[in-house]
Amino acid sequence: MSREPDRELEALLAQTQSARDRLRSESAGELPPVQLDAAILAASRRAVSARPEPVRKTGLRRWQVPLAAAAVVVLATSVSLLMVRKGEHERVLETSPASIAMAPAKESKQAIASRAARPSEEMMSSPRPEQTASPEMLLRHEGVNRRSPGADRADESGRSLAPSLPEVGGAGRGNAAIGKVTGPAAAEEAKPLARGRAENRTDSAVRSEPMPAAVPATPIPATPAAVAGPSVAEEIAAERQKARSQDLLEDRGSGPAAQLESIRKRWEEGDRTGAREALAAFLVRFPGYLLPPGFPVPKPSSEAVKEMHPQDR
Amino acid sequence: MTDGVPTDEALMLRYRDAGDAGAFAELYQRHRGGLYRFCLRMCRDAGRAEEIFQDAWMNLINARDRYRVEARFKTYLYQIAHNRVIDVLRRDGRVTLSLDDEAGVAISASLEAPAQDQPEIMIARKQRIERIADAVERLPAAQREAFLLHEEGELTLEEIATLTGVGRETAKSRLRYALLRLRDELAGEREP
Repeated sequence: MSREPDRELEALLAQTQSARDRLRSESAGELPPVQLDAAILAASRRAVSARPEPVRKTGLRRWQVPLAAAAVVVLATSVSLLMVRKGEHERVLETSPASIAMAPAKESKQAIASRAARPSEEMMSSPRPEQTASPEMLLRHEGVNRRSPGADRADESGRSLAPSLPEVGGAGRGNAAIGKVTGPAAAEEAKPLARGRAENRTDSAVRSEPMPAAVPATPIPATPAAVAGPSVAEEIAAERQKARSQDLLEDRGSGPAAQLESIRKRWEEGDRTGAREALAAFLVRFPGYLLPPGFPVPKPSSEAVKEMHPQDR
Repeated sequence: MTDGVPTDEALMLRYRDAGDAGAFAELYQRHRGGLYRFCLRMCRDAGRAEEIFQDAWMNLINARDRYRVEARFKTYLYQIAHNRVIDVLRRDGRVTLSLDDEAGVAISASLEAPAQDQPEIMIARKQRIERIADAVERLPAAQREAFLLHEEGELTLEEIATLTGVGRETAKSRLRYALLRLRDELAGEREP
């Protein structure tokens, strides 16, 4: 680029300045039609108003995911509950009195009664003698003036023990033990009770407590002992031993004379075995104590004392 | 931006980014007259001029997202109009001239002034401004375009060169020839 041509151009522009100014001023009125102006400006507005705005989540969209999650949880819970209830119902239907009748009858009424009491013992969170004791224990407690309502019912008849089962765990569980182990005899034993209960039951009670007395409500056995027949006697013996130990521990709180008086009462009330065992425990604790003359309970031999209460030594 | 007045580029960016229709209206107001006259003088037909004018602005609106501040807005706008002018002239079969004709002698008969713009009609008008306008319109297309871009668009030589796709010297030469012709026309007018 040279300066000379630019200078020539500038000179030409200067020479035509007036003519160009006239042209510009005169042609200033040459403008596009107003309609054209309006059309173009309207198009410019339409273009920006039609521009897709960034997607904003509306109220519904914002809650879409949480609502879906909540719906899934509710549905899953409902279906699970339905399945559980259906399963329980089917189990009830599967267990019929006929199947119960097939079980061998091997145990006596006393065993039934004691077995019926056992589940209650297991179901209670804190064992109380009034509700957990076996018939023998209840009788023994009766002898020392500590009778419980359950014991009173037990006195009336063997089967009256069943109502003493704790309502917390449901009668079905206790009766399940009966039905599972005892067979027709136990079923027969429990039928009147079952009928009596069923009469007072509402539909909802039937659902929550689906067991007719002799029919097991759930496959959960009342105790392992209820399933394994031969070990029942051992467990009963262990319970007796436990109760005796409890009695002895209670007796220890009093003096020797009071303990001897308690033993005497047991003897006189007919609890000969308990009195003997209590006396043996007494002699372990008070080895040189002379029994008062005329004490009804025969003094056990020293070997018997050692065998009966080795732990007290 | 000068003295608080937004530049053309700032207005265009506001329209592009924020959808500010007011910014576009301001831009339109600034350039509607010059661009319309450019189209009118290039086509010498009001109907076609309006068509080109509208197409140029619509192209600007629709292609706003592609706008980049690489040159003055005015250059961008007149570039669109220039392209549309060539399209229309080609469509009408009137482009027998080369827009980069240096001498301006290869003007086809079809680009001669319309019947109503013949010298005898121009004399009948007896209005000097129309004589000037006619003188411009009689310029060869390339020279006329360079002249109009300089006068109406107020573009620099560099911008005219860029817009028309020629070198700066070529653009300057076209503008110089246009001014010489215009001067001669006006000198002849003073003679009577």
